[in-house]
Amino acid sequence: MDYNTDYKEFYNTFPSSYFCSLPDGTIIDSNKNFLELTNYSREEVINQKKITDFLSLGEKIYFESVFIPALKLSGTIAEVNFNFIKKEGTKFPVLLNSIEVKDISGTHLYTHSAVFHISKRKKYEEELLSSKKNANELSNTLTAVNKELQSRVELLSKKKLELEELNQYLENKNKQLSSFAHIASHNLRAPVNNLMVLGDLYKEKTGLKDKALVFSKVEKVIDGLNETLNDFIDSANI
Amino acid sequence: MVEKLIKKNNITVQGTASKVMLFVHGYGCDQNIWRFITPHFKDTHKIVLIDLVGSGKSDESAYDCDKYNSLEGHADDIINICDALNLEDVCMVSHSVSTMIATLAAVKRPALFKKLIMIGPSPRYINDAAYFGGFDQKDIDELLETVASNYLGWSSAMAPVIMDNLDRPELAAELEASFCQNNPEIASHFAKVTFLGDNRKDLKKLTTDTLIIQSKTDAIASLEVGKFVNENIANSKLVVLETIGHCPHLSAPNKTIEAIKKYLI
Repeated sequence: MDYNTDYKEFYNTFPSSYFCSLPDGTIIDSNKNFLELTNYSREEVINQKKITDFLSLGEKIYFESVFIPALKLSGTIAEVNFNFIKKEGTKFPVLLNSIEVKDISGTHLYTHSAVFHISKRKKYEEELLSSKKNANELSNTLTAVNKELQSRVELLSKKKLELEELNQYLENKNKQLSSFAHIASHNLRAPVNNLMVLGDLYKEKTGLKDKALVFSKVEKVIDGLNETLNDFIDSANI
Repeated sequence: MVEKLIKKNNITVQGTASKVMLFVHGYGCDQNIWRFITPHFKDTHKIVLIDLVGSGKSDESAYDCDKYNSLEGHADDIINICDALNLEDVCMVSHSVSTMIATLAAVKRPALFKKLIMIGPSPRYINDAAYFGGFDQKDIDELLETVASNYLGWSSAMAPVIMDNLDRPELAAELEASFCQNNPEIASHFAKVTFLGDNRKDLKKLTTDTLIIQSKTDAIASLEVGKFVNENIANSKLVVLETIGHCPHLSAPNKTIEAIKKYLI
């Protein structure tokens, strides 16, 4: 390989963009790929344009306030995304790498820059970002729905517990009522039976003294019955 | 309390002289931006360097979007730092957006600051009816898009900060390029606050002695803007350097140092 002639051939057929600039940004050399990418002729760019001439005003701010300080402090910088402007005004996304070349005393002589055209990569990035955004939004919605469902489940559990307690209460009450009905029927049956017997006895007796004796027994049973009824009313509280 | 602040703003103190120089960086970088300047003042001044909350190696968890929704939040931090470190008669050197932070701090506590040195100041970037800030809303929108599109780029490891031609091997280890490895949301938020802000009315309230160092060709804070700042700060002096770019303290440190030294005599 003849490096002298082949090197120039290599430089101008290399499938990536390169340019060299002075400390003030003026471009002093570039390869063919850079000129083809930006649609300028060599005469229009070399010693005529600065790096910032390929940037919009907004991006110039980023270049001056972020890119240049980082380059100045580290001596090199890589993978910074800009939108370069072609001669006809259309923009295309690039990644810019730069490295400063200095002499022995540290004086900045010039800067080498590589430009990578990333239109397709940018489309992919935008699709990914858009999907990510949609996924985030969906995730947020699902989180909200999930939260709502959770709180409803909790409410239902609470209601279920309340119903179970109510059920238990009603069962207890029901037992109490059954027991009361049982006792009541027994406690009423006996005195009523007595009254029926005394009634028959009263009918049988003919003398006034006998009748009065039977009646006083009836009164006693009625008193007892009255007390029983009062007890039921007090304790049942139905 | 002091330890907490030191961590919050990544405060570095160099030198033990009594006169204090406080350096506050602008948008897009951190205290490393002053590394070509500070060595020339270390013998005569106590150098205090900070990272604004959200930048550099500051405590990212301290970034409160409400507090830092205006530059007043950062101005209050600076005042707190000065009070906590018992600094007096401070000479504050600022750049870009931090020139407005410095303005707000000095308007709030004029007795604290003896002099302000502003490099590339701008009170407002967006053009107004009779005011030329340099940019339209769409330019700032584009900038914010670029900020957002670059956080992926910045997550790749950055080269370590190079040593300057002063032989300082002890600095090489600590000066790791840390800026722009920020939380991308913070970077976007700070960019919005910086470039959508308007501090023109605050300039007139400033009474502190001020030096304005203006790069002759500056795409972000033009000479016209520098003159506007000079006209609106009562006790200010404008010095125009024959330099190109928004960061003469990086690209032409010697000229910047000369201008500062001349002013501080």
